[in-house]
Amino acid sequence: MGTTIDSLLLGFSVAFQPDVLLYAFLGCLVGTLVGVLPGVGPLAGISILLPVTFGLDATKAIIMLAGIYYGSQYGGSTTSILMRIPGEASSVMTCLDGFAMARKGRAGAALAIAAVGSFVAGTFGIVMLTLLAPPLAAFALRFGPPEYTALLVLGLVFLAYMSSTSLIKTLLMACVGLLLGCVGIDVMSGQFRYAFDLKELADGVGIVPVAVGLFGLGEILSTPSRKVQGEVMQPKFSELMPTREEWRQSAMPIARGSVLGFLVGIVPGSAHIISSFMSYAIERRLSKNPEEFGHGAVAGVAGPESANNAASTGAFVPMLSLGLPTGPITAVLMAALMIHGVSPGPQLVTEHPKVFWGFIASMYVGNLMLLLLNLPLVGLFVSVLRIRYAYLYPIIIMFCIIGVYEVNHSLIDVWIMLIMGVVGYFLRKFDFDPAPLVLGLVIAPIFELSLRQSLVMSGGDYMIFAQRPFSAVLFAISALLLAMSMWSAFSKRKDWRVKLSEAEAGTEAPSQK
Amino acid sequence: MIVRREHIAACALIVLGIVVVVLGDDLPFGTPASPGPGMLPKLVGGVMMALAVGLLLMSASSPPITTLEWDDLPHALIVVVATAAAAAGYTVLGFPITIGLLLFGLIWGVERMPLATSLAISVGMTGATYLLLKSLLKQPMPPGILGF
Repeated sequence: MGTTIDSLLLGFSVAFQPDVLLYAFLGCLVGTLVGVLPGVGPLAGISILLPVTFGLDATKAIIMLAGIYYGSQYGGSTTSILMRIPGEASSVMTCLDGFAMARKGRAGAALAIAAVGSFVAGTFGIVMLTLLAPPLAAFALRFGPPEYTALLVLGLVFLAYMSSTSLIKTLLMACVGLLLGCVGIDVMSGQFRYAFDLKELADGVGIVPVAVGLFGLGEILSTPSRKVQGEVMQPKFSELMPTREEWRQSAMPIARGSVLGFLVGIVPGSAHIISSFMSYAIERRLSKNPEEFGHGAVAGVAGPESANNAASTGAFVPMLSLGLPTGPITAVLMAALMIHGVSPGPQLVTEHPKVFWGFIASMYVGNLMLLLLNLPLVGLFVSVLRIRYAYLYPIIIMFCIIGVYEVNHSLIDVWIMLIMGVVGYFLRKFDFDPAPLVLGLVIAPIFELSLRQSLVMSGGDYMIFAQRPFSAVLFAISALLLAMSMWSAFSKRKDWRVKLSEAEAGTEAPSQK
Repeated sequence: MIVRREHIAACALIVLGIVVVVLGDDLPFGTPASPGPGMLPKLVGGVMMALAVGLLLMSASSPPITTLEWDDLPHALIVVVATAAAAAGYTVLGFPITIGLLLFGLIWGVERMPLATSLAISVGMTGATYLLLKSLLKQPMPPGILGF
């Protein structure tokens, strides 16, 4: 414990440097704007702004990019409450009761509860991250290639299990991502694969063009400007203080959402989205007045908003301690660290303590910044919401092109982004979730290397995965999850994933079950 | 027979799997004790085709392809063409001209926003972004025909 406190103090000595504070603030501000603006998610925001960090050192870069991520979770609630449009996918549930509160004249209170809930949950998540990540990293140092292979398989299976689309579709997308990850020079033999004599593809297909294409351009292609409209409510600053009764009603949902969100966040999948849905369902079930949900229940705002923030922090645990991305956003953040010469994983704590602890300490500071930023500046964010989409999307396309080009100064990357944008458009049409594709792309090199190393180690004996205890346990869990998914698919039971899918599509509010 | 959405998706993914296997014909699969560079792509390609067949067989509840709405397609096509034109001209014409034209083309040409506002936003955003990236963040930008 003493070592953790000493390390945290080292982190704060980094985080309180004026320039680091500035980049944390910029990340939080941009993240809030990314969350506020419909059609620009944190993944596109981080990917587009990645090149801006190239001139920075790894610590400042990751602090700024992570600020965009957790800042977007705060910002997403503003659009949900004031416009009934989720600024960010994890804010879908907040639309239901947040907007209903706004229509009753309690928009300011809803925003304040969302901000305070986000702050409490975010801080709880960081405390847990501080306590859990270092020992987990120390444990993971014992992992060999078979354990890593098993861990990555479990990550993909978990993603498929947690996905709101079908198991087969998620696995298919992960396969496409793994195949894209095979493009370029094979690290073990040096042979070119699927590079079509393009030297730009020697290092493989970049994560940034794929992510920006699928989530940035793809979203714009699917959103004609005439469909983005709506009136924005503007709360007065004096209306921001919730009543004593509203605080009382939000206290326990915030506490439950914090714990639930963090636990879901550690698990691979779109945790910040899933956690808000689960929190909403739990609050509704526990409520003495479930009929109020959908009509302005305070718990319907406090729970999901706390859960999605805690989940976004929880997702950093496997990323920092195991080098395992739990979703496309942490995958892009991992790529950002690697671009700066830092490999996330068990060695991060020991080899780059300033990056690791500086990052954790900056999250404490960033959460406080967000609380102070979100409420007083709500008027500014409302003004941003009034910018017409017809002006906004061409500017987003501009940032997509610049962001992708500046990574390698390669036009091939811009063309890849365009192709992936078209792919993303069709994936949305055919109800495929593009997130597993990005995850597959990121883990492909690590997965292939650890799989082939495992086989070389064992002389070609696949039983190595069963003989190593930890690997065997992970494969057993993967098999169990696959069996459970198949059971619910064949039994045609309408489980929580179907309900999440319906809620995301706006077809119905999740029912009590 | 009703053609459903998942029929089309599954067939496209089967074709992709075949393409991966055929294009990777020259990549040795290796042996279990010494896996080659072709092992993972061929294995994943095979798994993908198997999953796509599974999707095809389980697609009875998928909506018919005719229910897909394509009202956003014209706008999407315009955006794709504009982005492709910008990609083609980016290193030839340079950042200021390409991006300025892209913004003006989309805001005024496609969205029919007022001329003066469209011009102001296009020029202002292009100039501000250029200055931010080139001067403050020291990012190299494609110069193109204007020489800067």
